[in-house]
Amino acid sequence: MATDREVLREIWEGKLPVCFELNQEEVNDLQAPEPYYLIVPRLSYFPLVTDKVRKHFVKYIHPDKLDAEIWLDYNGTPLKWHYPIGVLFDLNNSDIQLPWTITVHFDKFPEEELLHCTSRETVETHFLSCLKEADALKHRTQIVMNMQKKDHNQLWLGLQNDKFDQFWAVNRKLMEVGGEESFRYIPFRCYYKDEPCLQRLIKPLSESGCRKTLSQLLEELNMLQDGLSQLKVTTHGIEPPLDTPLQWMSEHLSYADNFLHLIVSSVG
Amino acid sequence: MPSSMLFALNSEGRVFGLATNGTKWREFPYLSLDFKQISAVPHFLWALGGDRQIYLHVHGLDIPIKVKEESYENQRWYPLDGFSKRLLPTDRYQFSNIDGSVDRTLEKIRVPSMAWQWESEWHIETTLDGEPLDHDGWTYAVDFPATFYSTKQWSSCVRRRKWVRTRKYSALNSWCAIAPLHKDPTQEPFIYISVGGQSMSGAVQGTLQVWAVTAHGRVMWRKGVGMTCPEGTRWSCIPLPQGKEVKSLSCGTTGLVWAILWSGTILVRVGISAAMPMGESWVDVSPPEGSKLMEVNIGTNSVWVLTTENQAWFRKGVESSPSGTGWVGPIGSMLSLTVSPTDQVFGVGVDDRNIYFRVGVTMTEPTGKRWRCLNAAAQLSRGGSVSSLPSYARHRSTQSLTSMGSVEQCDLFNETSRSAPTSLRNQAPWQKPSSLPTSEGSVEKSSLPNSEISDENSDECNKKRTAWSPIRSVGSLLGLEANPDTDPHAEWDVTVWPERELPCAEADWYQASTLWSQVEAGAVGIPLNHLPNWFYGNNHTTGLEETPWRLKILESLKKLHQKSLKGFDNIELAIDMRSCVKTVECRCALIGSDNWEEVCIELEWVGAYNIDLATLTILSLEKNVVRWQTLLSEVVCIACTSEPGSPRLSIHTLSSASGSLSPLKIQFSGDLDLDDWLSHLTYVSCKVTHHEGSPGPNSIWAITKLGDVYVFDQDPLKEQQQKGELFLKEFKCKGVVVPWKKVLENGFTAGDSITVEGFITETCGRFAVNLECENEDNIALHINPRFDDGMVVIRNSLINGVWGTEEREGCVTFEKGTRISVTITCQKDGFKISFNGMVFTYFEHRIEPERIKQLRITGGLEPCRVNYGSKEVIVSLNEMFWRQMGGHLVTVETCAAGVTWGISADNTPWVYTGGWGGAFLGGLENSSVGINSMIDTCRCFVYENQRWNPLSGFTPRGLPTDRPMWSDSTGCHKRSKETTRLLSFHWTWTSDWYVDFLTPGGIDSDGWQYAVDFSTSFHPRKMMTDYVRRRRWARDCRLQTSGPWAEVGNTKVKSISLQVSTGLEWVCVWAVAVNGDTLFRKGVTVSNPMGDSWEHVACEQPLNSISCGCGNQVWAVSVTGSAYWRFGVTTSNPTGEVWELVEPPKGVAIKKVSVGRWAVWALDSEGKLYVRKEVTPVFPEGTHWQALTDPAIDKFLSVSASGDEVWAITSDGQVCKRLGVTCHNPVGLSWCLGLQANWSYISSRSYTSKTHPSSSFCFIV
Repeated sequence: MATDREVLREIWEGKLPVCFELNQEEVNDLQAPEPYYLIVPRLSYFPLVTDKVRKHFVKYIHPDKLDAEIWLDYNGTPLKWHYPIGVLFDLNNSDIQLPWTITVHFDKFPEEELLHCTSRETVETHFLSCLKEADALKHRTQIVMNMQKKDHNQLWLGLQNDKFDQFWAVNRKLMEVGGEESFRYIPFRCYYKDEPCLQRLIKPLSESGCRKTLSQLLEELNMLQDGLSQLKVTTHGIEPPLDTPLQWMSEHLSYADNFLHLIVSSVG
Repeated sequence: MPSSMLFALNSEGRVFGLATNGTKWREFPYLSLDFKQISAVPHFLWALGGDRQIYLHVHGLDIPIKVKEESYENQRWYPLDGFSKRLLPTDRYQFSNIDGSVDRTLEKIRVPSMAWQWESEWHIETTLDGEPLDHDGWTYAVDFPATFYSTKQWSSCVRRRKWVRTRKYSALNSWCAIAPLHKDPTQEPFIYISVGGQSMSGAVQGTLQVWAVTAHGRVMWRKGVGMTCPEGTRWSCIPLPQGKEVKSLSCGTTGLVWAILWSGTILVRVGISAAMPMGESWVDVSPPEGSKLMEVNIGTNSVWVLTTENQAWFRKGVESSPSGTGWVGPIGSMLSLTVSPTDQVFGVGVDDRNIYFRVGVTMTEPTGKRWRCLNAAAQLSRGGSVSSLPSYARHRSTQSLTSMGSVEQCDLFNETSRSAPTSLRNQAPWQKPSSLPTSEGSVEKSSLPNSEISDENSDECNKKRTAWSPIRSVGSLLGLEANPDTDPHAEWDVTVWPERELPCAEADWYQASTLWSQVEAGAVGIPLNHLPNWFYGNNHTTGLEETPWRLKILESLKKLHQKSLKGFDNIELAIDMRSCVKTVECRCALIGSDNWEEVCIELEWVGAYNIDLATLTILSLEKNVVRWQTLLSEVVCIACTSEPGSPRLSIHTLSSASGSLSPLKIQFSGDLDLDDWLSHLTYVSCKVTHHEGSPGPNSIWAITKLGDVYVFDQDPLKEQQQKGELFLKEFKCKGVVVPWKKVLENGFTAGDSITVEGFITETCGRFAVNLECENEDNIALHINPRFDDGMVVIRNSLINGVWGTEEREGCVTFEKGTRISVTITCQKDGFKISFNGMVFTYFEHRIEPERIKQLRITGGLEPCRVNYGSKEVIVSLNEMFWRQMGGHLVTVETCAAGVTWGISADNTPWVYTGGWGGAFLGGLENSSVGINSMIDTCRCFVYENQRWNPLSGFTPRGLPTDRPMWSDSTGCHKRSKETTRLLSFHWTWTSDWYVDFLTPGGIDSDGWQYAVDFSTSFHPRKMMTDYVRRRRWARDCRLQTSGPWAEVGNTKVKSISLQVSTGLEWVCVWAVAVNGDTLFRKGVTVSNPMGDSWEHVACEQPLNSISCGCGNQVWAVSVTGSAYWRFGVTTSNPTGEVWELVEPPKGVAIKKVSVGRWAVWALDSEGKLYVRKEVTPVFPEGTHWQALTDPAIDKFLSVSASGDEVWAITSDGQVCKRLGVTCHNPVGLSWCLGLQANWSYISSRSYTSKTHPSSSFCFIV
């Protein structure tokens, strides 16, 4: 059970200052607009926080593009909206200066690289499907399926409105082990060397019933060719020690979608 | 659920215990005696020693086992001699028992065994049913079988008096040997022992069944074993069918007995009942196909067996018939099994000798899911036996060499060793330390006197720590009295059982891995789905892992937050403060109405971390009409008022409370909705009113009839009202109708002030502002400006309906049609009266200002605002905010230091941990510490009623006027077994319906009670005139919840009281155990509210209730309804010396007392209140009782007298406060009523509105 409220609270409080700038090429005004600054929660998704950004820049763009979907890039790389903000940041962390400067586009949607996101409902659908996937990995009998619609709603509203208590009142049910010693598998996504994210079935306990740690996860993902010292695992902007138990990590360090998002990079 | 113990035996024959709240096995102090097999029920551990004798270990009892021996001395009156001890031949013995049938000569009454010691000499009891007698204690009657009275009358022909002497079981916390079967203990040793029967239906509470198997294959049943006689009286042989020999057996919690024969088949004892606990006959049961059995284990509803191939099987259908219906299995392979009273199963693994637990055993799935290893480390005792340890080690090694030879010598033992701690090492299992003569394996040697035992290895220390073996102490067999002065072997080794694991003692223990041979769960009370922390590492006990990686993660997270937001304070947040809305469709009855309608309720709150504003709206189903709306800040109490099948909430608001209207009632469609809304409403209303975390030390605690715990915390109110020295409160009274009155909560004494602001009407002839006392006939101050009578301002007083001398100097300085403010300030000698801020005059006191109770405004003044200033915080009873704290209790007691204790329905004591939250708050706001899971048990009753008719006898056909044939105890409501439902889904049934053999008033063998008619009193025997009978059916249920409470020990209590004296660090905590004994808790302080241990305080009479108050006063109430006062309680001797009887008011049985500062308050069994008057430091027992007569409110459920206030709960669940309680008038003047929220208990012991409480007694001059 996720009982360590102090850690959960810290994770929830993770925030990033972002500076949104309109793409220079799209400015349809004499003067370039002022950049727009926002503090965004790490656990949230960009479409949930960019309403104001859109409103701010929409005056400066070509009238034809008024209804266009906005998309963001950092250093020329489009940002995938379906990743939590904290993950997007950590993926590029090595060279970011705060505030994180992101370019806003209304034009030339990169169809190849990004999914369309027309409304908040799209994000909600994505979020809930992630939850269900994580739940299926964690529990033999699925908990999400047995929840009422209002619980789903509460989770979603909790995330959307940045309400820790509201979110965790429901989420703790998902973090229960339900009579077992641990989760069935640890829901995680591992990002390594620009490859699409890695997912494996990894149990939180070893054959002998001992708790597996982060280093054992890396071992099972065959990432230890160069030795442990060559790897760096980042999540929520911090590097969890390699002896952290996986079960505990899954309970406490998962993002709102109930997945652990681990960014693995080589040192040097 | 109190903590309980799991026991285990390792391969060396040592006994270990693992507490359900602990994580490590602790070894029992080693007494040079190994054990081969153990069997346990709570507090009693029976064991088969290495010498093949039976031993008993009684432990974990805070209350000593005591038995009061009684003998009646009988005398008859003769015309010349007066009363004489000469009796008629037809009379009873001179010393007899109560009905005269047994000779009870004092000299012939001895302690039953060496385990007992006399605690006192014979003395005369000087009370009769709570009524005091003369010092010689005689009671008089016409004849012996007649009723005895306390006074002699002309017809008193006989008299008798009662001699009493208490004996005490002195072998607590140590091993006590049970007398062997024969004088020579080795003639027929034992090979198996089993204890059970603790919840046999219909049996007297506390009786136990002990069964044993001898080496001859005979089955023995121990007679008379129970709480008051742990060792029983004697063995009686239970005959077996011809040619059958028993190898092992098991006795379940219900008394069910299965025996395994040497042939590997089963005999089941049938006909076991409370009247016949040893059963009637044996029936055969065949083992699972093709296997031979070795061991059987019985819980409450399950029987598990082990085959000789170590296969475990489960017997199904035992709940309906003792022999069951079929086998299920095999279910894994185990060396030894054990079943707990809750049917949970443990075993010892065959190969690894680890202890396993069967996961997932539930009522519906009694065989569980899988075996899981229990990883609790074993700790061996280092303390106390340090000196003997080296010698012991040496001694073992030499011993094992010699005892190897004894294997061949002794076939008998060899055969039976299967169930014993067999060895993985090459070592004889029955090897015994040499201090026991039989251990050498030679039968002849054992009869030698014990001087032969000289063991070169056993030093002095070792000798002292040896167990008491029957071979040396045949005394218990012969019934001799044990006298520690003369019997050198009766040195009790009292090893105090640690109530909880103290970290400081850790140094005395060292950890080691050990191989287990047997596990015993007979004393484990773990409920289903609620496992102790045995399966995790040590860190999991708190739920937090204080490991380096956790600290590192936390630290780096905190650092990162600082870093990433530093310098960006002015950037706007992406997600701003938003409101949250919650809606549900339900049924509701609006304030003051009982009309239920379908509505939609909506809760809306605004704010991110602190909720600034919240509203609750009742909308029509279409959401287009607002039916009712309130701000959550106006809610004073949110209480669950569910009835089975209808989940309900009541919301009390300022308007409903002050108007004495019924609250807003909401009925939800299900328990889930109720929980959801209860948590949200409570959370939001507490956030809005800033009630969070632990309440201040001066809070009032109360409990509703449903067992929910509430608190009124005056600290937020204080903060709000404090203005300089005074506490100010403003009452808006615009638009009220004059005459208008306002109760002054804190009275109006020197220093207080009041300002009335209002508008003088154009038509005003005169108006008046009065300060009234207890009634309208007494007015302390009457200010009466008159426009129609010479423009004067009359000041006067009214004493008992007679006006005093008018004071009329000065003239009116204000005009009609203007605003005016009248300020009255009470000073030491009189009132200062000001108009519009200008001092007008002074008025000397004519009535003591302490008597002032209310303000009244009459005439042509339209008041708009009243400002009341007091030296104390002003608490208006109707505006008190009651906050639910979490947990389920029936009693709560607190004290001025803020230490709070409670008692749950199963009599478990709990201590408040300082948290706020639990099940009722859902996950919304949990204190990070101190929220523990709580389990409470309750019993539901229904009565089966029958009427007699001449043709068919008793039938369930009543007269049309009779009560329903299935009803509640009053007969007013129809009840039935089928329709009785539990309150919510947090409750579960734990048993089926059974006839309650413990019905008060006594019952016959089928549970019936008889009476002339239903409305009269019932008795256990049918008499000629009895036409009706009834019996009570009971069913147990259990609540699983959580709250900010921690369980205290495993001693059950029924009453508790706390008091902190000024200047003392510790808090006095007194309690009454369920058996009526008094307990004093040692070491309770603000920082250690749980204290350390109970100290038993002897009391002649079993008690019901206790209360301790300031000035070292301790009062108690006996079960007979008389009061007791503790003499000799001082700060240096907090437990006092003796109990002094205080006679109750004539013809009244007191139920509860509460010691206040000025008086002792008592509540009788009828719900009436009495006050003990003239309680002074010189005469602390007071002089007389004064009954409280108030025609409006005369029945109470609870009373709590605190420092200088008295609070009570009326019989209809309304909280009320006694007004005018002072040291001169400790009874007070009248009741002021507050919120009616189904209250049942209140404790205001910590509550004192006085900001500077005076610490000492008030001497009445």
